[in-house]
Amino acid sequence: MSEKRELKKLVRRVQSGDLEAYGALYDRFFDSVYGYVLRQVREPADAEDIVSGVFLEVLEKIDGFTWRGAGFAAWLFRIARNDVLDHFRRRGNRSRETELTVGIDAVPAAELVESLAERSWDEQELRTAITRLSEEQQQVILLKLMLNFSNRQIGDVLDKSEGAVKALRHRAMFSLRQILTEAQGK
Amino acid sequence: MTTEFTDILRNALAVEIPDQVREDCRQRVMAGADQILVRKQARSNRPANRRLQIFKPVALASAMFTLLFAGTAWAATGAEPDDFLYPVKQHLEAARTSIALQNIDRARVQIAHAQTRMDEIDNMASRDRSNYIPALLADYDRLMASATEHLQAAAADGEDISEVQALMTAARTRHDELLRSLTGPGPDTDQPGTNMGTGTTSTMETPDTGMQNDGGNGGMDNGTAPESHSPGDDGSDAGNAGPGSMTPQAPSMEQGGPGSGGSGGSMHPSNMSSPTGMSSQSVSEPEPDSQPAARMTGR
Repeated sequence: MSEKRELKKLVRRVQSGDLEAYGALYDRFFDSVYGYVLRQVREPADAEDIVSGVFLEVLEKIDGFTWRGAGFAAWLFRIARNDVLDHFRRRGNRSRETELTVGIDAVPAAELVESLAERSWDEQELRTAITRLSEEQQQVILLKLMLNFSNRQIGDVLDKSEGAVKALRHRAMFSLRQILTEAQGK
Repeated sequence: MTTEFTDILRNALAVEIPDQVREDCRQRVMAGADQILVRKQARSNRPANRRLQIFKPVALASAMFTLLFAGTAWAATGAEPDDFLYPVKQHLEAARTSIALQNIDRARVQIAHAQTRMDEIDNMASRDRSNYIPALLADYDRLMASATEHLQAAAADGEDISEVQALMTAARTRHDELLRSLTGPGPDTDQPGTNMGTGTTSTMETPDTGMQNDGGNGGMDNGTAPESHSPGDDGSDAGNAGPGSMTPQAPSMEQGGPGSGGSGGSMHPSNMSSPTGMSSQSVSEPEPDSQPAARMTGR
């Protein structure tokens, strides 16, 4: 049975109230959701709270889920993203936008990162640089690199078109280069 | 993104999750999930929902039945005695009569039905379906007799019956004219008349029921009628105006059997000894609830 078909079957079972199937769904997605959330909120305790909330919300809303759009994973991470945003709102950190997101020219992304790849980076430094990106740019980086999402799936999570996701990814890499170059110069 | 740098980023973003965290979170989520599922189950088992689930097919069936019934009823209202829906029409008429609560209303409804019988007789005669006529006449008699009873009861209750009485008189007049048109010239011409092949014994000589014999109002205009004119014990009403008194005889009349006047079904006035169109001799046993026209349709 293909992975997608298996997932469909699992979701259908959860929709019919099968707790065991729900456990299987949880096991299947926990790591990726937890990693995705932790990379944004940084505090493991916060991440645990948020992830628990995400999975319970999934169970509450799964009856309304239909296989349209980019699929179950995109639907799940949309919930996770909203819960993370709520977490920041509750903390009074309403926006994670930086000035780096403004006025970026269209420079090929590959060119931007080539020079960056030549040197060795401290992982913490890279993670900090990512957190300085705008929320949407962070999402593109996280969803693309951590979860291997397609542009369509990312678009579904962010409620954007595939073209907009492409442009967003380009801007994210450009901003990241600026941040890292800046950090290198210091 | 170049593969090398994205790999670096990917590695930087990778998260190692301690088993303890995974397990703690799972327990928390599964406990919450259990509650959610119980709540969902309770929601779907709510009496309102269950009632709705039960009610749905019942409502659907009722709607279909209503549509079917309404359609049939609508079609039956114009049914003629030779139509297969005619029994439905008779049942509807009976229903209409039974929902009229007051005696005077019942009388009014029954007179209207008697008029309908005459329309049908007219129709059957014009379409050369005279074999239906005896039973229709019998039904007319039954309706008029019953209407007379109700009218008498209404008069006894002190109700104003003049309007319904006028309707009854009009019905009788029409009945006489109808018989005249069916039988041709009167008895003094000694003509055989229209042979209806029915054996009916309707008469033209005294074309009215007891009420009309009393001056067109059945003796009820003085409000003393119930005793002196109760159907069955009054000479003019006896045997022909009693409730349903004619109904058992419809089949035998069609066959020109005993009590039919021995004319082999002729409607000649000489054979019509009863004022309401049916011979009292042909009445062996009153059956108030029988429906002659229903038997007629089962030809």
